[in-house]
Amino acid sequence: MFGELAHLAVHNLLRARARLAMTAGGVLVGTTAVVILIALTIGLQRSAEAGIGQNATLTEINVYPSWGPPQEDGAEPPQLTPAAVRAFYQIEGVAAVIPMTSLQSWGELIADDYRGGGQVLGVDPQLLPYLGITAQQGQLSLNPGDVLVGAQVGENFYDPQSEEYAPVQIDLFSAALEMQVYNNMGTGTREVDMRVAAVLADNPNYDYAILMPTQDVIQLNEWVSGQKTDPETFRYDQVIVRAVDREAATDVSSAIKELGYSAGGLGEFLNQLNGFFTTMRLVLGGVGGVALLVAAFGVANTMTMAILERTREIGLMKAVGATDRDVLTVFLIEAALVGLSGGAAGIGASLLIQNVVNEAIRSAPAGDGGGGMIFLPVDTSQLSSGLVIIPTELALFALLLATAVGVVAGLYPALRAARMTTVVALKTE
Amino acid sequence: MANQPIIQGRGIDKVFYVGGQALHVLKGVDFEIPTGQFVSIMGPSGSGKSTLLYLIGGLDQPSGGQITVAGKHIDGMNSSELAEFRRLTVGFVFQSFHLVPTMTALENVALPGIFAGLPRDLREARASRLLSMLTMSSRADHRPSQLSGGQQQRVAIARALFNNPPIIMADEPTGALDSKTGQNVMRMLRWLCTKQGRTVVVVTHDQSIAQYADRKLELKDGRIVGDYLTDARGKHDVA
Ligand SMILES: Nc1ncnc2c1ncn2[C@@H]1O[C@H](COP(=O)(O)OP(=O)(O)OP(=O)(O)O)[C@@H](O)[C@H]1O
Ligand SMILES: [Mg+2]
Repeated sequence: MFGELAHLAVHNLLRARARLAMTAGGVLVGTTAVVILIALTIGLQRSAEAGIGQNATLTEINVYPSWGPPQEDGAEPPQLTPAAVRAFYQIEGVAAVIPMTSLQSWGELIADDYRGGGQVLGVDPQLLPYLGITAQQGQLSLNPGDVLVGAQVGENFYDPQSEEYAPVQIDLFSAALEMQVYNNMGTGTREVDMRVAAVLADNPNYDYAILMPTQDVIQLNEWVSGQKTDPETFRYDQVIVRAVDREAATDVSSAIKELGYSAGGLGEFLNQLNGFFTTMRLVLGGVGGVALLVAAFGVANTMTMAILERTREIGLMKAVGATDRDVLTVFLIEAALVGLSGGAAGIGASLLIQNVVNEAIRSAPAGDGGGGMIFLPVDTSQLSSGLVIIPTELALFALLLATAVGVVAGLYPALRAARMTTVVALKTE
Repeated sequence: MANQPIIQGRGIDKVFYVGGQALHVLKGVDFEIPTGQFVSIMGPSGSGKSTLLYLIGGLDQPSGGQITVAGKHIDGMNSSELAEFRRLTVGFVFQSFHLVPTMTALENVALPGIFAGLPRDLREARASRLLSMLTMSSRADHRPSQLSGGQQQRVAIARALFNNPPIIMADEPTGALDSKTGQNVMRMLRWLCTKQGRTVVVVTHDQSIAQYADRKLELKDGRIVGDYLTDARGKHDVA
């Protein structure tokens, strides 16, 4: 039955091809606007994600003690105790927990006659593989007395005798390195010899870090404060929790926050970024939706015209046994087909635009000196997958949306047709 | 008479409201039509002939009274019951043919099959049998604009027969045709009555056309004012 009515609807559509083409053309424009604008946000999001990098940093969550106002019962907010570290390790989706201890004082690096600095972090040597670091020189291992230095540490030495500051580059891997540590009272200094086991490759998290075995840092801190470390009151300064994968990172992050800590990291940043792009997608999709709304009025107008022109025919259909519902179905199928054909053409047009735009970007000179594309808010070299990306889901969604727009726009005219009084319709001239 | 009435009207009233004014078009019409009879309804323009025909054909609802057709009370039926009634019981023929201009003769004849849910091959097979019965086979692929008035009316009659209804109703079927073509159409309707046993109701105001009927109902000012049996011309000499 539906098939027969659909057949009739197709016949009716094809009798006014020019009108069909123009009405569907409106839907084409609307669909293309929606698809291209959304595809643009997808392209930008992919390139932003690619820029952040797909590496280990995305599964990394930095945990700090919460800084908020004191809790109502006056209790101290949860601290990064060894017990807390064990608790983090129990969370589902956690691959590793890396507690770190900072030097409680200022340590100045001395190599030859030059001075430099960095952030001293104590880390458990066994956890090095989970830190997401690689060496550009040397081996990733920490024996007592060893240090690993970040890629930038050697780049920023200076000559203390010089009148002006001028960065001096030191090859820390081969230089004799020592660190001068000041104690808490400012009453004394101590020189510590350092053997550089490795210089780390670029990694924004550790570019200025001086990684030492936790025990070495604890010993230095005991000297700085002049007190023995009490296992009861010992606190880590920072804990890095590594999730098994990017998806798990979000859950792990919220589990940690639930325990009362602050959690941050690139994965967290990425979530915010995704939120931003979701908003952007809604806004731009809405802009395209306005074009589709205009097209909907076109469909409604065309269907109303068709129903006025074919009033006698509607009367006849009813006279030969069509129910109101049959008439409604025929006109709704017609409206849906207008939407569907416009939507399909719109997806075709969008795919064409996708190819043209992405091809243009690919063939444009890379880098920022290239001109042409300089007004783009993104680095075109990150757009290897394209500025406009139309996933299959988006195409299917657009097709469905265009069809739905047709049906909704055709609903009122079709209802009018279905409710026409047979006799009156037959007598209409 | 052995024939049971296939159409029965009791006190049929029809009032139209136009601009707040009530227009009493039918004022208590009573009549019976036995199965297999060929009835003509005559009367001056505006007397309510078409209105009455549409009421007994289930195209419109009476304001009062009862209408029973083929054993069914059609007053008070809802719109989908009426649609089913029309599909199964009545074939309509109109003065202005009411063919769909974009469809071929064959497709026009087959149109009722769409709403009966018949698949296309069945529809078209039945339509082409009907066209050949009315000697229109050679014109099956022609559109209405390529056919003469008489040919168009024959296509419309074939369409009325599509669902094999027991009753054919025609509203001035010869009104748009010259007298010779009109006579042809009437002979065809007469044949459907005599040879196929269908009940035929024709509205006309042409006396010579009315002579094909067995019986003449005269309508004036919304009332039946005459009911005559006639010696139908051509009643016995149809092929
Ligand atoms: N839908 C309608 N709304 C209002 N008035 C109507 C309607 N249909 C018919 N009428 C009125 O009802 C009266 C009878 O109309 P009807 O068409 O039945 O006449 P008729 O006998 O068929 O006339 P004719 O021979 O001219 O066709 C007329 O006065 C007409 O104006
Ligand atoms: Mg009339």
